[in-house]
Amino acid sequence: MLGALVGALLLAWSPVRAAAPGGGPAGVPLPALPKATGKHCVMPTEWMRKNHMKLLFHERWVTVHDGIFIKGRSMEDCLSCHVHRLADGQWPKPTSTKFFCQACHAYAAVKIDCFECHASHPVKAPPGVGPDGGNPLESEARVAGPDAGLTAQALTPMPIAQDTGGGAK
Amino acid sequence: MKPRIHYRELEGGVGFWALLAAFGVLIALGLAAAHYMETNGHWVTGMTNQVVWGMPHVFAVFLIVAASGVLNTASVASVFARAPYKPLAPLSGLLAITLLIGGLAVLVLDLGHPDRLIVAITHFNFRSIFAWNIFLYTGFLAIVAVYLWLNMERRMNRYSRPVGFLAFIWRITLTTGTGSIFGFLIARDSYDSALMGPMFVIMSFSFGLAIYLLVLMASYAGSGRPLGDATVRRLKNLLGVFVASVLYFLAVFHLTNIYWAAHIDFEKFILFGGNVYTWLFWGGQVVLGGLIPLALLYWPRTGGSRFWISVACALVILGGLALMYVIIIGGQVWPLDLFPGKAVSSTFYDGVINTYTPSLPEILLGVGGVALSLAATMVAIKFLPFLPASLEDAIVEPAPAPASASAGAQHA
Amino acid sequence: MSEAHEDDSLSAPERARRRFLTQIAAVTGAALAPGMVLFQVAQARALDQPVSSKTRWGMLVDTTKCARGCDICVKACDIENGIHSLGRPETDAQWIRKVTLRDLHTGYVQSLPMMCQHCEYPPCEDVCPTGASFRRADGIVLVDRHICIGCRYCMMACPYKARSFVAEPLHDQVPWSPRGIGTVGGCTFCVHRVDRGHKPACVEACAADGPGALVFGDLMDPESGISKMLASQQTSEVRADLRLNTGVRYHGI
Repeated sequence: MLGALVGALLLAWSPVRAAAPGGGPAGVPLPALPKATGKHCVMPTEWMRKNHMKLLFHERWVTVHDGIFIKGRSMEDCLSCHVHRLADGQWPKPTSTKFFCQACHAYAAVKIDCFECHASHPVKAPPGVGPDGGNPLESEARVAGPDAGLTAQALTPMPIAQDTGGGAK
Repeated sequence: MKPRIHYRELEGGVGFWALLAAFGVLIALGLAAAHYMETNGHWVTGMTNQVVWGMPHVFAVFLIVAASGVLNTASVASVFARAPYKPLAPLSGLLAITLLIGGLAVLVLDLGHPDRLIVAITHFNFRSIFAWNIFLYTGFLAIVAVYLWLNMERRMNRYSRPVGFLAFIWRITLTTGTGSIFGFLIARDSYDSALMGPMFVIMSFSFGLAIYLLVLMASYAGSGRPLGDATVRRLKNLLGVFVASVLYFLAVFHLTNIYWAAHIDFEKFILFGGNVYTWLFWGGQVVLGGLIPLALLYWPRTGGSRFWISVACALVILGGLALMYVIIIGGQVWPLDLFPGKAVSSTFYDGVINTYTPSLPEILLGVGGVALSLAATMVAIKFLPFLPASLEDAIVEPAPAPASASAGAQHA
Repeated sequence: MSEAHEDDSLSAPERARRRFLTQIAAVTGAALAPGMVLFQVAQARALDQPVSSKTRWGMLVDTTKCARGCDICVKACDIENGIHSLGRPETDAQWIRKVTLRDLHTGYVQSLPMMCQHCEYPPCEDVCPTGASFRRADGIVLVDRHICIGCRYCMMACPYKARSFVAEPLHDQVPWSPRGIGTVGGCTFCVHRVDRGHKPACVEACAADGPGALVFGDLMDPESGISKMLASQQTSEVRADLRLNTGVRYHGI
C-alpha cells in the first residue's frame, strides 16, 4: 500500500526525469526495452509513452462493461507485439525488467498489477478452448483416448448428504 | 461560583513510554501480518470461500461499533446537557476518532487489494450499504473533529452543542449502517434481520462505554490525577444499563428467529449446538460479558471498587469480542439453504457446517488495530490538553448538596 | 474497424472521442432501425458495439437428463477458464459445481450443476461498494477486477455461493479469462465466447461428451430454442422466493 503511494508520487515527476537528455540521473541506467515486432503501434510511440495508461483505462472499461472489443487493441494484441520469448526459450516474468512493461515501470517506480490477473504472454488456444468456441474436452479426449467421454465406469458416485438439512460432515 | 475545569497534557513517566513502546511493537506486528497476508494471498489465513470474513473483521467491526459508542459520554453532555459529563467529553470524542481509525485500518488491510483504497474512494455504488458506510465513517471523523475543536476552544464553546447533536444523530446512523451490513444479507438465515441495526447501536453503547471507563481510570491512575468517585459511579451505573440492554436485544433477536421455522435450525446450532459458538455465546457473551459484569457493577461490595469496575469493563469488552465472533463467524459457518426441504452435498461444501480456525496473522492484524487506537489516544492526550487536570467530585459537580459520597442513586 | 492512424491531423484524444461518438451513433441507429436490424443486434452483435438489453442470455438445465457423478461441465469450465485446484479445497476456486440433492422426506436423489445464476436483480451487485460486481446490459453478471478491492461482500450476499476468492498469486491464467489474487470471480457464462457468437464451454461439453442437459440462448428472443423450451415445459428458479429473476432455470426440480 505504501509502495503504491510512493509510486503514485513518483509518477507525478518521473516523465520529466525520463525525458531528460542523455538519460536519467547519474548512476541510473535508462530502461532497456525489448524490441517490438509488428508494423506500428496503435498510436505513435511518443504518444504511447506518455498516454498508454489512458488508452488502457478507457478501453478496459468499455470492454468489460459494454462488451466492446476494438480490433487490434486488446491486451493480447499488445502482448503479441511486445512480449517475446527470452534467449532460453522462456517467457519473461511480468515482474522482471526483461518484460516490456516492467522495464520502464521499474525505472519509474510505478507499480502495475495488470499481470496479477492478465496472462503475461501470448497463448495459443488449444482446439475447442477459448473465444472461438468448441468443446474444451475435445483436446483432452484425444489425449486420453476414446474412453474419456461419459461412460458408466467413469462416473464416481458423489456423496449424498445425510438426513439433516445442514448436518455436519 | 463554579470552579473552572483545567485541561492539561498528560504527564508521561517511564510507564507511559513503556506502554506506548509495547503498542508500537504490536502495531509493527500487525503491519507485518498484513504484508504477509497480502503477498501470499488469503490462503495463509483461516479464511476460505466458505468463511470469507474472519478474525480481522471481528476486531474491525468491534472497534468501529465501539468507536460510535464511546462518543456516548460527549453526547450526554451536549445532547442531554448534563453538566457533570462536560469535562469528560474531549476524551470521549478523541477515543471515537482513534477507535474508528484503528477499526478501519484493520478492515482496509484485510482487503484482497488494500493498495486499491483509492478505488474504494473514487468508485461508488450507491446501492451498497458498504459504500454508504464509507461516507458515514469519514463524515463521522470530520464531525467529531469539529466537535472536539468547538469543545476545546473556549471561545467556540457555545457552538459545540448543535455539532454534538449532529454527531449523536450521525453515530446512531453509522452504527445502524454497520449492523445493516449484516442485516441486509437476504439469503442468509443467520443475518437477514432488521434488528441487526438497532442491536448494533445498543452494542456500541455498551462496548464504547466500557472502553471509555477503562481508559479514563487507567489514565488518571497512571498519571496520579484525582478522579472522583461520583464520576466513576455515574459511568458504571450507565454501563450497567447498557449491558442489560444488550442482553435484552439478544433475547429478542434469537426469540424472533426461533419463532420462524426456516431459521430454527440455525438457532439450534448457535444456541444449543454444543460447539464453539454455543460456548462463546452463553459463556462468553451472556455470562462473562453480561451477567457477571452486571453483578460486579451493581453489587454494593464490588460496585464501589475501582478494581472490580475495571474487571467488569474488561469482561464487557471480551464478551463483546465473543459476540462479534458468534455473529460474524458463526453466521458464516452455517450453510446457505439453496434447496429448502432437500439435503444438499457437493465438492464446494454445500450443506455442510463449515469450519474456521483463526490464524496467527489474522489475530496479529486485529490486535494491531487495537494497539493503533490506543497508541494514537496516548499520543493525543500526551501532547494535547484532552484530560482535565482534576476530576475531583468537588470540581466536576460543585453541587449545593454535601459531597457526593452519599449520592448513590445518581444515574444519568 | 478503428484504425489508429486514420487521421493524423487530429489529436489522439480527439480521435478517440470521434470514434466513440461514431459508435454511439451506430448503436442509436441500430436501435431506431426497423425490426430486421433489431433482430440482427440480438443475434450477432458486432464487437465494436456495446451489448444491449435487447438480449438476455440465459441457460436451461434439464435435471432429468443431468447424470449423477458426471462432472463434464465442471471439467470443461476448468479447462476453458484456466482454473486449477491448488490442493487446498477450502480456498480453491469453483465456478461451477455439481450439487446432489436428496429429498428429506422421500429420499429422491437428483444431481444438477450450480453456478452464478445471472440474476436480473443480483444481490452481489447491490452490495458491491465500488460497482465492480455488475450486470451487463445483456444479463451477464460479471466482476470488473480492475476495480474489485477484494472485500468479499458479494460472497456474503450471493444466495448461490457462486463466487470464489482468489487467495494466492496465479501465474497461468488464460488470456480470455483473466483472474488474479485478491479479487473475486465466478461464472461469466463464458462471456468471451458469447461475445463472439459461441456457446459457453459447459454447454458445448455437455452436448458433445455428456447427456446434453444444458441449453443456452437468448431469453428475449421468442424464436430462440431456449425460449421455446421454457414456454413449453415446467421450469423453476433456485430460491425463487428471493425474486431475483435468475437467468439460469432448472427443469425437473
